[in-house]
Amino acid sequence: MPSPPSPHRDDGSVPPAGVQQPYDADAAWADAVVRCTADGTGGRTGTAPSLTARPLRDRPGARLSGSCDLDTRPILSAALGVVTRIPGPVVHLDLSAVGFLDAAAVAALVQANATVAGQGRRLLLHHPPYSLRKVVEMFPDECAALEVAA
Amino acid sequence: MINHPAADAPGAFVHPALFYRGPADYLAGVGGFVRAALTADEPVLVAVPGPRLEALRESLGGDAAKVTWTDMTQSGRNPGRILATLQEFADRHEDRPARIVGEPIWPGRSQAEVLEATRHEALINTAFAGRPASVLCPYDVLGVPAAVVNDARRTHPVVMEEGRVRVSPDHVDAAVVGADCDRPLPEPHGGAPSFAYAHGELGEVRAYAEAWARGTALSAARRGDLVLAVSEAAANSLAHGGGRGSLRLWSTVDSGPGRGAGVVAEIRDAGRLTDPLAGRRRPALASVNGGRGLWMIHQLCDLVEIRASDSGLTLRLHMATS
Repeated sequence: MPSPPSPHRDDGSVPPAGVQQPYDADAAWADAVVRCTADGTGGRTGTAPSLTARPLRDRPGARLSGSCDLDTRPILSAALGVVTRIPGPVVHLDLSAVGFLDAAAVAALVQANATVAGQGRRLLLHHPPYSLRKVVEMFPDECAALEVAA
Repeated sequence: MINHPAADAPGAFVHPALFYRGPADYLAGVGGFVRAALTADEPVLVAVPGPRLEALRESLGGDAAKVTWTDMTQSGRNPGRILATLQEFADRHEDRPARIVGEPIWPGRSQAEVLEATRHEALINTAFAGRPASVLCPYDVLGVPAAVVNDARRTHPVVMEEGRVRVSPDHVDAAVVGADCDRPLPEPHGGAPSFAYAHGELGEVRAYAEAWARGTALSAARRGDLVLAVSEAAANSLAHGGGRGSLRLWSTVDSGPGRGAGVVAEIRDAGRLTDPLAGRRRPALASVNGGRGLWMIHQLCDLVEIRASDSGLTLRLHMATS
């Protein structure tokens, strides 16, 4: 009986139909996409405002979880700094677990997109929340370069 | 035939109020202004209520296609976003003086809307000072309250009435009008609980607003808009308003024309409104001052009441549900 594929390394086995080949997440950049949280202060429920970034397993990119606002601004900035250094012709950013992005966060995405595009590559956004789509609608010219997966 | 002041003073900003009595008066006064501008090959924006717009468009015939039209009851529903629209149009045609018709007050506007529209009228003078442009503001003197006409004499340096153009002796500085518009806001019927927030709690502010909005008649999209507006306002409290603030939410019932049912979000903080034009000009997405959030709030809401006082800043964000 074959052992299940490691979540972190392509062991060469053929995955079952419907399961994508695990992307090599052991590359140096993956170590940099670390769980980020604020310092634990603030918040009436005792939980610090958080935004986390994790590498995608199946393709180059990262998955953000949480909210992108003034409280998590430094975390987003750090995460995007790492994401834009992920190699590959297309870098994927999964936003399906991001409940909210404010205008400044969208501006940061536009900046990250310009960085990646400047290297002749693409930054592809997946499952953006309503707030991102609304900000894009309000700033159409500046957000025109943002690419959202169909 | 009305002699249009725009033609008399090239290079300077001209901001006349046109007091009209009935449709014929309207078409003569506004139509004359538009035709004169088109003859001079100047860019024209007409921002007036829908029915007036249609009549005007029809009267201009083939020339109507040379004019940029916008229904003020839509684009200017929130008076706080009109100035950005006018400035954007003037900016797009920087090589030539823009000729704009802006009718921000019409019969049926609520008292709160009229107050913010009056503030807007005064701020037009501030925003366009020294700029070669004309903004003609028609007033339906047979349809709007006398107080509105009196305020128009205060917010416009020039008044056009019964075919004559006169300097308005009642005209006062925008700051004076603004202070007069800072009237105390009525308390919500039955009160509303206050939700205090500080750094690190923006997520909770949004969760609170979202949960409350689910119990209202707002559509999912409008709920999203409300949460976005509230979040930007609360972020402004943290960045520019003393690092903390409070939020109150309540519903209003239908109480007649211009005062339909809706929701109100009130944000209070220790902020100051140092620039009365903040949020009234399209900002860059990447700008860092408080103007970006305020501009977004104006775009997202049906009415924004702003009260600046020594004790701080109050924003009331209104969204209609009917």
